[in-house]
Amino acid sequence: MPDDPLNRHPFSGIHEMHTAKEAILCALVNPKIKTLLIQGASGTGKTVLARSVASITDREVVNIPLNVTDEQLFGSLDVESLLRDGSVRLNDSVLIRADGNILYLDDAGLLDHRLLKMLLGSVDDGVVRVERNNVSAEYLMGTVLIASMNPLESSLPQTIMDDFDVSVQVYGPKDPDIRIRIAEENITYRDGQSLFGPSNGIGEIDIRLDISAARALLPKVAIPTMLMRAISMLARKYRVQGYRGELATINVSLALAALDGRMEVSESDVEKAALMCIYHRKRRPKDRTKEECESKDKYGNTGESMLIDVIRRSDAYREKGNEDATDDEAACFGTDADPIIVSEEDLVMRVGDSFDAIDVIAEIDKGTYAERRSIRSLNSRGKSVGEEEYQGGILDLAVGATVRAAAPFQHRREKESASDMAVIIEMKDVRNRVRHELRRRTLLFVIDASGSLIIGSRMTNVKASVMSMLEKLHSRRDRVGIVRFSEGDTELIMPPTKHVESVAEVLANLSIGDRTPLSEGLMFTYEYMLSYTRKHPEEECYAIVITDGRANIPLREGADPIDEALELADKMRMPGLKWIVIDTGIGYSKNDVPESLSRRLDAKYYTLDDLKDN
Amino acid sequence: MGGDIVFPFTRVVGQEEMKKALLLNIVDPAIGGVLIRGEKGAAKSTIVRSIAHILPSVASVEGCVFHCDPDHPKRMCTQCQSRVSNGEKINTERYQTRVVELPLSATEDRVSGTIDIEHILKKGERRFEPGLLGTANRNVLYVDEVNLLDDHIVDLLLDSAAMGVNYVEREDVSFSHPSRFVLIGTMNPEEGSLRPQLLDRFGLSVTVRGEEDVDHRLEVIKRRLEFDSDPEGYIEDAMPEILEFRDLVRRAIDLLPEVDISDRSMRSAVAVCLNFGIEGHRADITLIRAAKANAALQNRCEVIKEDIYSVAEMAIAHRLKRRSFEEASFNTEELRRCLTTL
Repeated sequence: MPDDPLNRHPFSGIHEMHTAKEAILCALVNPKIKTLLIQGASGTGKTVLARSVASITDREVVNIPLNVTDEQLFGSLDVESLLRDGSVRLNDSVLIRADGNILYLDDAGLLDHRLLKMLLGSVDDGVVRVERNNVSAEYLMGTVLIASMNPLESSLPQTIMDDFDVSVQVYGPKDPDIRIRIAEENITYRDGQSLFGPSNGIGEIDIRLDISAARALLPKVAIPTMLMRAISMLARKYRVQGYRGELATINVSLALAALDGRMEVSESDVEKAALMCIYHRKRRPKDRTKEECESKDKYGNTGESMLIDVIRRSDAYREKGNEDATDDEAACFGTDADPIIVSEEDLVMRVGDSFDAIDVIAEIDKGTYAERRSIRSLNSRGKSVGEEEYQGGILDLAVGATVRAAAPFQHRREKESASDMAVIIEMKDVRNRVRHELRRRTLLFVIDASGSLIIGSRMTNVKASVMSMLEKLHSRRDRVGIVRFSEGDTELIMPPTKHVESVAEVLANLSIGDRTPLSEGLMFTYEYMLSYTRKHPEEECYAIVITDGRANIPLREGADPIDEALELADKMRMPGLKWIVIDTGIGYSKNDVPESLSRRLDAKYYTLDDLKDN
Repeated sequence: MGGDIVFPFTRVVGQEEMKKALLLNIVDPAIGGVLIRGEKGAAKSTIVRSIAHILPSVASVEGCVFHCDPDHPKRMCTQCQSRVSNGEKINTERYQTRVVELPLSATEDRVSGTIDIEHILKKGERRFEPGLLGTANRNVLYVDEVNLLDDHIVDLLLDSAAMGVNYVEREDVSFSHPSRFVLIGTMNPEEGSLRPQLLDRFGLSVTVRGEEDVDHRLEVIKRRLEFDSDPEGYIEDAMPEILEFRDLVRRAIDLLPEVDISDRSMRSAVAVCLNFGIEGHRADITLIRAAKANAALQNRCEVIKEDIYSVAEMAIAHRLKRRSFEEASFNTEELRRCLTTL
């Protein structure tokens, strides 16, 4: 949409977002800063800002569509030149166009992670290597990647966050006057009443001059060793992995000094740069959930260290008493009413011995093993299993089949055509490969970690059953994540990861909280999976809810916590997600809520005992 | 050694284990490659690529796309073999071995090879066009993020790594060619584990950790910045040390056939593997080979206990039995104890 005025919004006309603008200028000054992530809520102007960069450089902003395929991004065989004169050439790809320009990726969190990783790698290397089908090629690509992301809608694993040189946050301004001005300018500007919109273009010329002056100065800018040492110490302090964080901080500091016309990096340059380059790479101490540095969710929970968590909760537990341990439970576990002594160790119950579990998913997916494990691949990944007529779209040429298809017509074509090719191929001969790839799964365990699970060491059994299910279900390709819910602490303690070793660790450290916000737990899972399934359409997703159903905190004040949870469950079916409910109730604590819940969710229902494969 | 613009191996700060594992493989490619595990951005790729400068040149059949070894007719491609059996005179040339990279996005066809489409269209003849497994013959094959590679590509790698030959049976192609390479893989365990079959296929494994010492970190960064600001100049500056190092590697390669390993040393190598509860023989063999290469690098003709000690962890760590969902860890104390009691 070259004529959309938003594409040409002038950089100088953008209000606020100072850090983001500064980061962009740094990247334009110092070519070593190659990847930039702008995080912020939707509508805060991330895209407008990224596109406005075209107004201060001679570079073009090349957009990466979210549904981009490997072939479109990196390039693949150019079918036209092949048919024309038999030459094997790379077609025009997004990254070829990016060379010397600026790449823009909207909603980076929604792009396939593997593709994003490869993209970040290529931008960082400055070289793209294509080894696809019949093409082997390598081309240079000097570019800056600007990506945006709305952290409320999607997230990136820490290992990908680490790949961004710079990450900045943008916020919608709170000041109503500024908001009104932005809205007004946007309206007039969109209506095309002013060619240059809020600025007259003079701002842009100034900025261009600043950038070229800074570029010229950059090689002369020095950074005192003392500050370099400070950067290293900072990186250590925040447990940043590898050296990229430090190098990026230095490169941004140098650019900031150059933009300011200085030959030496100052402390404040480093401070600014560290915020841009170190903060998003920080890992939490004791690094339990390695995939995400801070599991901050929209409920406002920040992931403190587990230890603090446990202590805090144990206090809460003592204060509020054992409301959860109702008479039923007492009846079940001895009426002598032994005071339940809650120590910190109790709150983090050990993982019980795992057992031979049944395959809770196989029960759902009937069909042969092979059918369950592989699906038709929609890109050119996966194992080739046959050929079919080319229908347009991705070309994944099956050479033999294509030549065979063309063979019967060669005699006639040779007569009719002026081509001197030995084999004349026409579009209708072209055959594409059919490929199958292995299905991937995501298993999200949603664990009720409320106080009632402390009775009779039930949590120990819950942990054991999760481990047992994992041992049964997990293949190397699956992703496994954990949501825990309890009063005031409903969070994704382990974003879906393939690194099951860390899942085991998180599980071992999972602590018990207070009362049971079942609705909140379900709601959290639902919202998380809604965006997750959208992002991973090829993945089979399962949410395995493990609860005793003793909900006692509603989402809406005054509502019946159980009725509310069941009503919500009715609305939570979604394509691409299958629910499984595992009832942890035993003896008197057992009730019919989990089973009702399973019916509402259209879920398979199991008790803890059902899981054991006898 | 060409104009490879890669960070000089000799200027890498620390990461001694990783450098050692790479060198051992250069000295004796039969060790079976190395898997490098480690956190993000710990310069794993930089170091792997840096070996381009110190890789040896080898004698190869002139003009052969697979750079066949003139001294080993059995390892030659079919074309070279038929030339030899026809009594043709084979000219040799020096071939500079290199690091061939296998990108994650590579497809089956480009990895194992396919029909040369340009040739078939223009000449009407079917001709095989080798893929990366062909290019990799006698070279180093580097797979970054090897744990993220698609399974069917991993299968291709496994087959070649096991047999030294790539068999292509697909579509209208039926072809085989030598494919012996030093497989180097890097991975970040956080992003998923490696298939056990592939894991065992790597001769050695090392785990790299970020440098904790601030002074060392500072040195790493200073060198990196210096390199980035003028790569050619930096390499030129390091060239004397690179050449010296190349000689050292060359000498070790030449010395390797002379290196002896006593019965006793062989016994202690096997005892170490048994002590760590390893059943397969791959660990024994790799350990012995690596110990010999280590001796050669030390310019020694005999394997001593220190050689075994210094390479044991690399040969054994990734073959330890582990419980599900647990990372196995290698106990160096125990190794020490085991070796002293022998």
